[in-house]
Amino acid sequence: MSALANFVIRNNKMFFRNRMQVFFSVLSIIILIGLYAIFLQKLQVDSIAEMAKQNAAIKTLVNEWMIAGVLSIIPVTSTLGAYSLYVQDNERKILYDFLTTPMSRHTIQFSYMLSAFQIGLFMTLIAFIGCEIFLVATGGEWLSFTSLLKVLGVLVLAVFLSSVMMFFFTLIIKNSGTFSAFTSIVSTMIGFLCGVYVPMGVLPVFVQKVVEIFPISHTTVLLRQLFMEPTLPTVFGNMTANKESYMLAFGGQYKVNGAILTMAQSTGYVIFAIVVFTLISLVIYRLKNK
Amino acid sequence: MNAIEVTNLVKTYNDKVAVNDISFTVEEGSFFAFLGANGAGKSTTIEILCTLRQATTGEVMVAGQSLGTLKGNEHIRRSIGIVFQQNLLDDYLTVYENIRHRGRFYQQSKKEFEANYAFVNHYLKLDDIAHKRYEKLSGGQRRRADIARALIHRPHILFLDEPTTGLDPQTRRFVWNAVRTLCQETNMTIFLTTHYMEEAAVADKIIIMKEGTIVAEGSPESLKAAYAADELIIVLKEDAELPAELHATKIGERYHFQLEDTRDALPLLLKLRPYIASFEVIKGSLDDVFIRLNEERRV
Repeated sequence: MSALANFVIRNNKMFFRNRMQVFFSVLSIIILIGLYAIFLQKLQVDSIAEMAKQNAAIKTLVNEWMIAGVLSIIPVTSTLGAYSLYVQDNERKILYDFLTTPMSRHTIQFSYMLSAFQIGLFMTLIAFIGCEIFLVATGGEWLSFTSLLKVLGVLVLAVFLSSVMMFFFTLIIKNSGTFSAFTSIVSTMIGFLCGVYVPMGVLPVFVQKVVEIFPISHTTVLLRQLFMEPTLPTVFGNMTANKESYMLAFGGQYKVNGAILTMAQSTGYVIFAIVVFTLISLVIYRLKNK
Repeated sequence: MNAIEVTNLVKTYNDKVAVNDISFTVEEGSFFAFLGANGAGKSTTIEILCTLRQATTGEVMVAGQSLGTLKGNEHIRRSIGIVFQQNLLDDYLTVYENIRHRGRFYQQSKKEFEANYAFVNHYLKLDDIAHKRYEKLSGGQRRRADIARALIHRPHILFLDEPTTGLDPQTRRFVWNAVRTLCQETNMTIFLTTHYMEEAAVADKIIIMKEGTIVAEGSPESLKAAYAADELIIVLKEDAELPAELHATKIGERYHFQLEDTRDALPLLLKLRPYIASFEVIKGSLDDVFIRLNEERRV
């Protein structure tokens, strides 16, 4: 077994054996969905009912909108949870033990990223299965095979992006206290930055621009388009203008310089962000571990 | 042959000089003690030798390789084992898992690992703790696991950074017996830092650091001869007075006579016999050496 694979297994064991950490990671997802179902769902259903044909599919559409949002922020919170191990290793100087082995600095760095990716993907897939069951149980339909593959592709990209982006922040944090505060801030802000808690349309124009630039929000957009694709025609019928207004106002699509971004463009932007944050993390890690 | 050669090593952090132009050698297979008060520059030096920090200037050779190059550093990392001051194994893994994961960082095959594990188990008696989680172990058990981890790749040089701090006397004795036996049987070089001077007293060579520089170097005996005086301490009988021609320092009820050697106490005792209620002859210790060298600089 290679040193890298061995290190990743060690990191994963350390994460999953910390039962409280895993419990709270899952609990945060359940709380998010619960809060949404109790407080926000009805507001949205009422708001869409004003611009669409009144039908039972609205609730499904709103659920799909919410599920897509939740699934785009789980990669962030779960990879961040996985990176707490790096902060602890650094703080307790356990990293010294690794830095004095023949493993290269890059192998060590890459192992934390790979481990965060695996943990993030595992947690996201579990959440995805739970969300699909929730959607079907509340009147929705199973995703088609093609949509399923596309959703899985976007989720992999989302987890990948979160892994490199969160590692960039993790590298500049030195202790668990600061990391814990950072995690709280990110967990709170990510819902707004991805337009999950409130629709994009109600945010100030400046904040909307920030959200559009924020790479992770593009995974939200992609997931919304995929999840809502079959339900949108049922809700809006041939009211194309209303559908477009709804998608823009609720963060289902972004309009940049007067043109609506295609799925390919959002995907390209996500990949571009992955490359940029990987390079930045590499440079920071090299500077920190000369 | 030398296991470690340090020449004109300097390490600065911004304007602060942590290590100031030090040079020393450590002979292969020897027991070397590196002493100094907190902030003396020991930890920085060890971190440089262990490839954790880069030297500002100077040359360092460890296990025959020059420090600083990618290939040299990798060779050095394969040749050294480190028992850090802190417990650095993973709380949620068992002792065996911890050692196995660390062993694989050295690209050991399963067969090699099992052979090396049997080797460390022979010296450190891990059977009772092997399948216990590290977080559940006592301080002494953790130390055994830490040392086993440091030895799992059969290093040529073992760095022990205050390995017995906070341990009970029984565990300290166990640790030292294991290390000494290992040293004798494998010709491993031991590089020790400690605050317990009696642990350094069995070293082949000692270096004492103060404020980034080496203030003394030599065998324990030579350092004691140079910096620590032997003493005769007496308590006089009631109403007895010390003869005028004898000079001693009085501390409380006790009179202290500085001696060149403990044997010099014999003629003195014969002379003082009628006046003495009780006496004690104290051999100068490394503690005295350490305290004297640190005080000298302070003065």
